[in-house]
Amino acid sequence: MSEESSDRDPFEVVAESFLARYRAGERPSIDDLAARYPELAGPIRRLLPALVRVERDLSIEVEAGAQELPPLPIIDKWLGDYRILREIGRGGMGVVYEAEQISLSRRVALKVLPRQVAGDGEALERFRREAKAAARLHHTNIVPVFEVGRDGEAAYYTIDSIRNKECAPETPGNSHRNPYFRKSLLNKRVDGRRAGPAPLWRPADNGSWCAISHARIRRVLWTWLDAEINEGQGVSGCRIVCRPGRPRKGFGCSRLSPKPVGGRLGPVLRALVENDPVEPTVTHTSPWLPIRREPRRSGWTFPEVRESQPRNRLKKSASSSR
Amino acid sequence: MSPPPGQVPDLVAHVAAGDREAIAELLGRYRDRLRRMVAVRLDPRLQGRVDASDVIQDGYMDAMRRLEEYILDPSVSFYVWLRFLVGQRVTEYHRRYLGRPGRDVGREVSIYRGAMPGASTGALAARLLGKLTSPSQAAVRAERKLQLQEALNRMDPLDREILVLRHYEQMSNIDAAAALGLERAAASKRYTRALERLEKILKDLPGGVDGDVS
Repeated sequence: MSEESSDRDPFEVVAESFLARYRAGERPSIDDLAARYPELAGPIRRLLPALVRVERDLSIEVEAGAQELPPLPIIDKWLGDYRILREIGRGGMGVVYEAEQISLSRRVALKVLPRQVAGDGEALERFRREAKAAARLHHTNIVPVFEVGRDGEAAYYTIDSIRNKECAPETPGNSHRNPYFRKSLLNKRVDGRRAGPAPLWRPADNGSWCAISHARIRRVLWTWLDAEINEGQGVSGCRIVCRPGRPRKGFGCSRLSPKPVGGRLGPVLRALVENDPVEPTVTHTSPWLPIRREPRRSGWTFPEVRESQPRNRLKKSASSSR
Repeated sequence: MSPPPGQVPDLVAHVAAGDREAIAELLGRYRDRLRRMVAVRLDPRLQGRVDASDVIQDGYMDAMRRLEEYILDPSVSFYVWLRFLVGQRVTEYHRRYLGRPGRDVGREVSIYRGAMPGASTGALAARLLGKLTSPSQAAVRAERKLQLQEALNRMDPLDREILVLRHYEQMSNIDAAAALGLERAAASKRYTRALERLEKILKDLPGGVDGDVS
């Protein structure tokens, strides 16, 4: 111990050594510690669980994933069946490379997970479950997951490589560029609720229209994630990646917070919500959006935004009255 | 780990002698810890306007200017001294952008703690649910973290501060004592008492001390 401990609180001395071992990755047994210091057994059993709790939930490594990763000199090296070509990007949950799968001669995006995830069996297992769940989502706008693998210490997964042009962001921040976005709709209220510019709409049984609130969309996503992946906990690095494609009406989803998966949510939400068998619980008709189109084949559609009245309306009415 | 107070680390002596490599090494050594400290003390309203790196950079410039002072009187460890200077910069940013001092003078505990804003509950909340938490992690852990946040909110500011220093900033008892201006024995006892209070509060919350609310 680096500090003179005679005048310190004896429990705090024990707690400090416990904490040092805990931070080093050990998981010391509280019972063993209590047996070793019988005079402190009470506080050890009572307070160390609280210490573990505060250490676990208060100690968040800021950008640890990105910083702890070494500047991997693995360009032109091999990782399983893949030859690494170049680094595409890096973030909190690993580094993404462009790679070539030699056996099938195809380009893939390969993500190498941070060491703290790769080294943690439980976290890795959760990550695999999430990749499996993502692989089950079949949709033209969802990039398929090819493989989850491990080579030595490196844990990785691969997805289809999408071209930069395809990745043109359709993110909330760009919603003003969305041709279907209308600023005038931002602060409209429906049934006392603020109706964003892009909720989902679906036809109701009585012929009217129901809006699916953002809260509902969130619930669908969380339910799916909980059932498929989390099992009450959650470390993940396998994000669902979407092909943005052309912006579609109603999928701006600009007010989802927190963002449930990935950056471009629109197509994922569509896939998930379309497959959701449960009727929306929060529904209301739309008094301010006239319906001009028939529902699409999928059963989902979005009312047209009210067009401005033609400028010559007065002229027309004047001429008709004559 | 920084050397104990009363002793100028070799690296600092090299820096004072003008060794440029030593400067880079010294600044790099404490950057991560200082970043955590700034993150938890910078008002969340300044996120996006003020970058933690800029605050740390300003603190480093101050440190280089005032290095002689430290060498003449190394009464605290170098990290605590550096942290104090960076903390002063945080306060300055608060004053500049929010038009208020970082901390009520009447609540000051020591020159070190008084020089910088405390770990406000708002900043703590932002950090607990911060950007590193991936979306699915946030979904699962949010409940547990919010409970811890609630427990910390109910605590005395000094108790909360010592838990933040020992756990979030990962300080030793010596450094925490210096940062709070307490005797080491007092800081040690204060930490144990803070843990006792936290345990009592957590016990009354759903999920108990472990926080398993499922």
